[in-house]
Amino acid sequence: MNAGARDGAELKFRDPGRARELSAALGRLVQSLGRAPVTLMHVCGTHEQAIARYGLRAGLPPALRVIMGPGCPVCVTDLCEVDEGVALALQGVRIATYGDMVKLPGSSKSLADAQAEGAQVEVVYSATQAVELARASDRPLVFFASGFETTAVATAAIVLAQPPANFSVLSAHKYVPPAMEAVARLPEARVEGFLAAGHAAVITGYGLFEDFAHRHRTPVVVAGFEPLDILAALVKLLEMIRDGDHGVANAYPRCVTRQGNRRAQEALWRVFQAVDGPWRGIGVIPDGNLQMREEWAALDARQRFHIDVSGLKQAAQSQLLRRCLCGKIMVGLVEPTDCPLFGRECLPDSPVGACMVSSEGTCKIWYQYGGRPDLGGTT
Amino acid sequence: MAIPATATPFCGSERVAVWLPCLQFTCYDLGMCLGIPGKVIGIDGMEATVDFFGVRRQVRLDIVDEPVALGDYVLNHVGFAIRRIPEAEVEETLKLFAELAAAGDDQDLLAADLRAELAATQEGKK
Repeated sequence: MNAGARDGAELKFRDPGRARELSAALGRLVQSLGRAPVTLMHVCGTHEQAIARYGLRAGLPPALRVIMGPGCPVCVTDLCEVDEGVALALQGVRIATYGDMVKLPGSSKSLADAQAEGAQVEVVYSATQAVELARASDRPLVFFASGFETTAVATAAIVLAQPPANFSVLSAHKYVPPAMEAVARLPEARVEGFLAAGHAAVITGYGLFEDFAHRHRTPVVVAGFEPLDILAALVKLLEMIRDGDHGVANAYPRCVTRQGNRRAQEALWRVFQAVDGPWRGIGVIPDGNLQMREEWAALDARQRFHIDVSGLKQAAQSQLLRRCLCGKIMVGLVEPTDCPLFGRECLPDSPVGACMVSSEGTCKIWYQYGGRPDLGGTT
Repeated sequence: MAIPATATPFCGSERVAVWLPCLQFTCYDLGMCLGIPGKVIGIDGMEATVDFFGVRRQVRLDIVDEPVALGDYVLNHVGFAIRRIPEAEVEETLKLFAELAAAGDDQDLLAADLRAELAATQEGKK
């Protein structure tokens, strides 16, 4: 569709020479903008993994900030949603959920705590496995489902495929585009361009971002997950900023189309509707939560069970949690290393905040790989 | 500042670890964003048998964007094919994932997410 997109398709993925060229191009482009810092945001844990894993920040010009926004679905799962899962588990309902959700702290307990008290919590890798667990016994089973639209389509497909009567869904699914809206409106974030996540765009299509880019006068580039994919997308984004192009470019054409996967979108919106809801550490995001439509009440755990979370709410927020900066980290206002708990009280094995729990959380990624490599240089 | 891991600037991961077929699903992480490509070698209604780098698994076809035929490559996410990979793009996509998978060890979050994607599919039918 444009030169940037074609470049993206022809890149060799791991060519240090090409990486240096792109890095130099980034330097020239930032300089030509004549201001510092220029802040670009991506909204995907996998992008952050790749940026940190390959130490890309070490090669960025000092005036260019590339930050992670709310791109970790487990991290933004609200305390109240965890409480609902924990309450159900403690009421004796069998829970199946994705692995990262087990350690995620609620108001006073995590699912792991509930498990230690005898509740039955099963880790699954897919909605299909949750349905199989339900089929294997007569007991009620609730699939506590988290994830952005890419993962929500799998939950939707399961709901549409007539699961057994003892199966229901507790949805903590979230929808990313409204969260990008919220960040774009934060004056202090000053994000000048967004990288959109490649595999989420496989479902939604990049056309979805056109209206957003236009309204906020902020270009969006859909990017893949290889180091050179990301660098090429950053170059494209800076070129668009320089040229005043408030559109959308697709730098991941081998996976992403303009209209996306229509069949998956149909399944998603047949089962779910976007409603206002809380994102942990960030606040209520208008249309940010995916709630099951009334039509599926029989499969909606919130309609089927009386979920009493009152017993979990009373515990006062811990001193530690009060010092946690996850919320600010998730909208890109501060970095993990700015948090007094990072790498000290807050560790992957004993996380305080949600960003240290998930493999897509900024803090866990920075802890694992280092975020901004110190190469002993002056940058 | 306590950051234990060191990152190599740009590419050049020298670690060599055999990723497949040692599928030990002890990892508790799930990549919500990353898919994994594989070749369709059997189709039974809404379920396909897919070969992922030598490992056979069952993948649901409920929400794939286009009709899938034997020999096609699909991108899998949490047990569902989400895209039929156009023929022209297959080689490039496979190369990318093979390299990523080969480089990853237990501590590698990207490789762990790939393993989780594979774990999200069901055991292949014998």
